Amino acid sequence: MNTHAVRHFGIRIAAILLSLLLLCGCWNRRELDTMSIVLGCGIDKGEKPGEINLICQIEKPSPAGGEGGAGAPAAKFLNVVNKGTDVFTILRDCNSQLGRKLYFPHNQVLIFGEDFAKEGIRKQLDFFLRDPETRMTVMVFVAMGKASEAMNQPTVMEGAPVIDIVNMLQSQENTSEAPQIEVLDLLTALISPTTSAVAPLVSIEKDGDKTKSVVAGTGIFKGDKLVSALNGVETRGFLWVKGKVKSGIINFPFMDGDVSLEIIKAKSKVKPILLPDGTPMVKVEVTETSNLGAQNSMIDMSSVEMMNMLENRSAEVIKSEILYTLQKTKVLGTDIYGFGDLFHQHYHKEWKAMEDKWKDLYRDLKVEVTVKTQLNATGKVTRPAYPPVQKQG
Amino acid sequence: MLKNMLNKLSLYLMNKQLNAEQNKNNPDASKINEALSKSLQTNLNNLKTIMSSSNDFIVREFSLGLNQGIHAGLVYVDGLTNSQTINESIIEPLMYKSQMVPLPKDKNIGIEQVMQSLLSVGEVKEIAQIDEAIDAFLNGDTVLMVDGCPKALQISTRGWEKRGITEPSTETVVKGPREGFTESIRVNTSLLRRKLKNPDFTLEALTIGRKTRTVIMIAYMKNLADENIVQMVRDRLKKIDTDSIFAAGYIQEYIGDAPFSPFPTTHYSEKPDVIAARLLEGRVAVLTDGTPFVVSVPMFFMECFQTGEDYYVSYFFASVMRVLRYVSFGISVLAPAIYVALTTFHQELVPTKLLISMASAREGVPFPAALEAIVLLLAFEIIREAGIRLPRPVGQAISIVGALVMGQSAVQAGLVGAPLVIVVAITAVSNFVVPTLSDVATQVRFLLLLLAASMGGYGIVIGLLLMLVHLSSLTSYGVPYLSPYAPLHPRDLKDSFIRAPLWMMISRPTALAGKDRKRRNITAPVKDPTSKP
Repeated sequence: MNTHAVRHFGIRIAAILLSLLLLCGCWNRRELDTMSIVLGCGIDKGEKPGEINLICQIEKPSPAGGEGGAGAPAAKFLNVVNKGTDVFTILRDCNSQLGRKLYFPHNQVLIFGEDFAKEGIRKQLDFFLRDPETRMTVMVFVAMGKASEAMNQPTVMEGAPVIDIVNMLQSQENTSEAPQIEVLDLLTALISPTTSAVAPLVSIEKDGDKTKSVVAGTGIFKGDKLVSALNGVETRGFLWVKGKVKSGIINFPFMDGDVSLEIIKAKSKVKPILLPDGTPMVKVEVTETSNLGAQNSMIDMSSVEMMNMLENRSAEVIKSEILYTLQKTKVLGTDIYGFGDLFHQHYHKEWKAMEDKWKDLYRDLKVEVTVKTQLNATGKVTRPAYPPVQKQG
Repeated sequence: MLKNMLNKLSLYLMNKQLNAEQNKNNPDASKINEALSKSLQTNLNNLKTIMSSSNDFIVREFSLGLNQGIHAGLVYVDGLTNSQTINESIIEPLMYKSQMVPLPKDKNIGIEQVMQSLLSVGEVKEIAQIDEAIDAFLNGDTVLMVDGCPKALQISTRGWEKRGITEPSTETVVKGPREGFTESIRVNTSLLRRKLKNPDFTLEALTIGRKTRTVIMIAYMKNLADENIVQMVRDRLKKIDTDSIFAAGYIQEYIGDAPFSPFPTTHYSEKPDVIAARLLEGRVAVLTDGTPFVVSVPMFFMECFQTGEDYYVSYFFASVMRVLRYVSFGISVLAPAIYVALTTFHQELVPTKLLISMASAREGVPFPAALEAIVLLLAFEIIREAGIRLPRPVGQAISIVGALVMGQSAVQAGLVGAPLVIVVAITAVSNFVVPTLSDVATQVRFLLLLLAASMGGYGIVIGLLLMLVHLSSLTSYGVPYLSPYAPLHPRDLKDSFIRAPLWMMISRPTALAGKDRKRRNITAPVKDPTSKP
């Protein structure tokens, strides 16, 4: 009797364990040569209203072996273009056209064409959020012009143009002139009632009869529509506040020449304050450290007074960059900094009254910017390559 | 349970049949158990009949005594004896010197007298049974029988051609002792005795094998080995009822714990220093005549990853090598399975650039990745087997054919992808890092590969879990196989993943639990008596 019960218990455990076999989610066997690895996607406005062109850039694998045998196979890419009204349906067309299934987990880029972005991205974004194969870490771009053009530019180093674009964005850390925006960031901004979404810009530059793509600047969305753009320096004004400036050059005239400071690190502290009379105010505190990178005057900058002057001067430059961008977004009425969300977080009782009129509040928002800079070093040399200059006076 | 029942049934049926046959065709069986007769001629005739007057069976009759009035006979097997000993130490004193010794004139000469005053050989034993005599001369001893005496003398004259002590080919070391066991059990015991000059080192002899009469010896350290384990070894060895024992592998299969597991539960070594070290840990060794491999029990899974060399090189290096061996075992078991799982199930886990080059390599390959892997692994096993079986000069040809035809041409022809060839190659190399487990690894590897091919990473995890459950269910002579990891004996971890410095090895393995657990005394640092406290 007892052993009987034990045996039943064992069978139950076994049944539970066996059912685990069937409960392991999405999981499918497929060979590598039945799929096409998507590296980047682009969406352009179609000819008819409501229609879009979807460009999928896939890796075109070259068969190994043959002559040469070993060595990295030359990476070739293929743009699959199809039109339709929604991404998911178009992808099915692509699959049948290719004879292979598009494979999205390695998709790294999502580029919106300018015209498409101006009409609103929300409708077509859904696939990239919902599908289990796509990732939230996909880099989002706005192409000035058509996405298909940006995805067709000849590349210097990498095989596929989209990989080139990603690399360019990543190397923008050296200048801090484009924000790095992933699908998740875009989603967060789109969900928020006050924050405006942003995305880095890809534009095509003509160089004689050659063209190449360039990543710089920021596209500003209002709701899900592209409304304006910031250029490189303006973008840095934005990134100072977000604390996302990694490196870059601050360039300004100083004494009888020009000085370039290299940003080593920068931090920012943003504090929302509700003044007693109920008006919101934001305190932005930026701390920056830099090195003297280059100067073309004849003055020895290594003295303490000179370095203090440089620090003050660079703080002024940074402050003016910040204020310029802020003013521009105020005019546009786009809260790209997410100040609204900050007030929501800190003053959620008062926020209910503020939420509806945030647009107006933002236009008149008082922002107090303080910049603290520190000049660390003057490089390998102290004096410039001139004979010593007599002190003035 | 079913397996057990089937086993018992088939064994029972087989026994019944065999016993019936045996009783029919063994007419001499009765004589073997008889006592020796007083008459020399009867004894010699009996022995001749039993030995069927075999060509190498020598009977030498002669007379001894003052008037050469006493008849005696020597019986030995040619080739197993040292003829110099027989001629100079047995026949010469008996035939010539006996004339100077006053022996009783009647024929009732006591055999003790011969032993005490005539034979100049060290090891002499009295025997009274025919089967004892047979055992004696079949093992290379000489049996002396004297007419009128119902007893015989077993005189040690063993001496046959044997291989010298050479460096074992299975366990080569760089810095350790180079000697290895040989096929001769006496040489092997002497090798052990020379390592362990200690009265505790005990050897117990048994004879196993109805036809081969193979000498087996149980070796252990009296106070270090757990008496229960020693008794278990004795019991299991005594239970062996077979007609032949030719090598240590026979013993391993008979006295191992889990006969249906691919994992070995008895360990072996070809090196006396390794076996001596295991005896000092409290293990029991079983020596088999005719094989240079000595079996040791109980075995831990962990022992597969230890080598003698570990203790002869710096402990830092030894520890790194230990970890490397665990990693290699992991690679040799898992690499093909992981490759197949990644390329057919979890492409999203592979870095983009790697996936692209893998996809390029797979392009145009006609078979699914799993099949490709199985075929390549099989091919490797074939090459390996051929390499072992073939005469050495031909073996080289095999490696050329294997490397060139299999590897390069197959990839160039686009029949297999280059990454898989790399995976199989690293698998094959890692396989030999842990030689004890290399055949186990092959079996587990194919199992995991099939699971990976059908269920991906999920299948691999299932396979590994099954393996873990199986390993933790095993015991070797009552000692958990996964000891000291499970159950955990933290003190014993000093000689597991790492090899701690020798001066830290204070205790013997807990799981083996002999009486004397301490390897060394932790003494307080020696104080200089002249210094002030």
